[in-house]
Amino acid sequence: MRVKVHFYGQIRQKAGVEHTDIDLAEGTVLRLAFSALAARHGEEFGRMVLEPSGRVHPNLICLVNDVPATGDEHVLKDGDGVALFSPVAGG
Amino acid sequence: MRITVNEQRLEVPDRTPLSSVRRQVKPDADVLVVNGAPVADDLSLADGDTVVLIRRGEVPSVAELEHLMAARHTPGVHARVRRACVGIAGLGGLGSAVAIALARTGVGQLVLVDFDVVEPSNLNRQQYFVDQIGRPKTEALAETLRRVNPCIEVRTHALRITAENVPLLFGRVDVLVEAFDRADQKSMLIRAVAACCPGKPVVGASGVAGHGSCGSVQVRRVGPWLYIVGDLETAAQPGTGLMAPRVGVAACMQANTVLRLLLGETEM
Repeated sequence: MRVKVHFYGQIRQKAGVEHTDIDLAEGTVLRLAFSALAARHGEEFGRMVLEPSGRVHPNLICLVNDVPATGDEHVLKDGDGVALFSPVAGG
Repeated sequence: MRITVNEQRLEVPDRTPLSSVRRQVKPDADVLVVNGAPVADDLSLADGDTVVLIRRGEVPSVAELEHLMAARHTPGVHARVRRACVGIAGLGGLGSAVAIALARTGVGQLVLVDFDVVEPSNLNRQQYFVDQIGRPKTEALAETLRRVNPCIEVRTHALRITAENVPLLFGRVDVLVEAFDRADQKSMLIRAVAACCPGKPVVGASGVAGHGSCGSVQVRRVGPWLYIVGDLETAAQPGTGLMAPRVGVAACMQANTVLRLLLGETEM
C-alpha cells in the first residue's frame, strides 16, 4: 500500500522534502511506518519522530487524514495522508 | 450639512461653530478634537467634519464604549465578535499579547489560563508592568484587560494545564489559542484538544524566537482545525532569545487568525 506523508517545520528541514510517498506492507502501524521513514531520511529525522525505545516521539503531532492519530499502533491504510509536525519552543 | 460627533452622525446648519456642537452634545467636554487634531479655539465646522468631544478623565459608559467599538468595527462584525468565547492557554509573550488584541477587538468572553507569576525577566516581551511583578499572570492580565475594555467578560484560572483538565477549561470556547513556551506543552495541548473536542479550532505558534525577518512568520493550516503561526523552525534557545518584536508579530497574527475564524473565514 502507498501512504503520502507531508512534513512541516523542523521535520521538513530534516526530511529535506515537503512530502513523500512511501510504500508499506498492508496493515503497517504508525510506529513502523516512522521507522521506514527514518531509514530513508536519516538519523536526525529519526530522532524527531521516534524515541530511542522505538515509541512515537511524544512531541510529535501526527494527523492521519486530518485527524490526530490514535497512537503508536494506529493502523495505516492504502491512500492515507499523514501530516507530521513537531512544535519548537518559544512563546 | 452632516458631521460626525463621537462616532454618531449629526445634521447641523452650514458653518455651525464647534462651541455650538459642544453645547448641544456634551457641554462638559474640555478636550475637543476636529478631524483628528486637538483644537483650542472655536471654529466653523464644514460638511463631513469629524468631531470628538471628551471630558478629560471621564471613563465612557459601557453603552458608549460598545457603540464606539461597533462603529469602528462595523456593527455586523462587532455583534459576531461580541458573542464569541476564546480560550488562551499560557499567558506569556504570546498569550498576554493575544488577550490584549482580542479585548481591544471586543471578543465577548476570554478564558485565560496560566499557573505562573509575573517575573522580572518576563518584561522583555510579555504585556505586564513592573508594578505587577510577583502577581499571578491571570490576575495581572485581567486587571490590564479591564482597563482596556470593561465591556468584556474575563474568566481566569491560575492552574497548570494538563491533558485531563483541558475539556473542563476549554470545552466551551469557540477557538483556543495555544500560547505555551515549551514544545512538549504545545504538543500536549494540541493532542488533548483533538481528543476531547474534535474539530475545535486551535491557533498555535511555533518558531517565533530571535530577531530574524518577520516575513517568515506566517499562518499555516496544518490540519482542518489546526493553524500554526511562526516560521515553524526557529526555537528559543541560547543565542536565539524570545524578543518583543517577533513574538508580538506572531501574537497579533494569532489574534487575527482567531478573528477571521470567528467571522467564518477558514482559509488563511
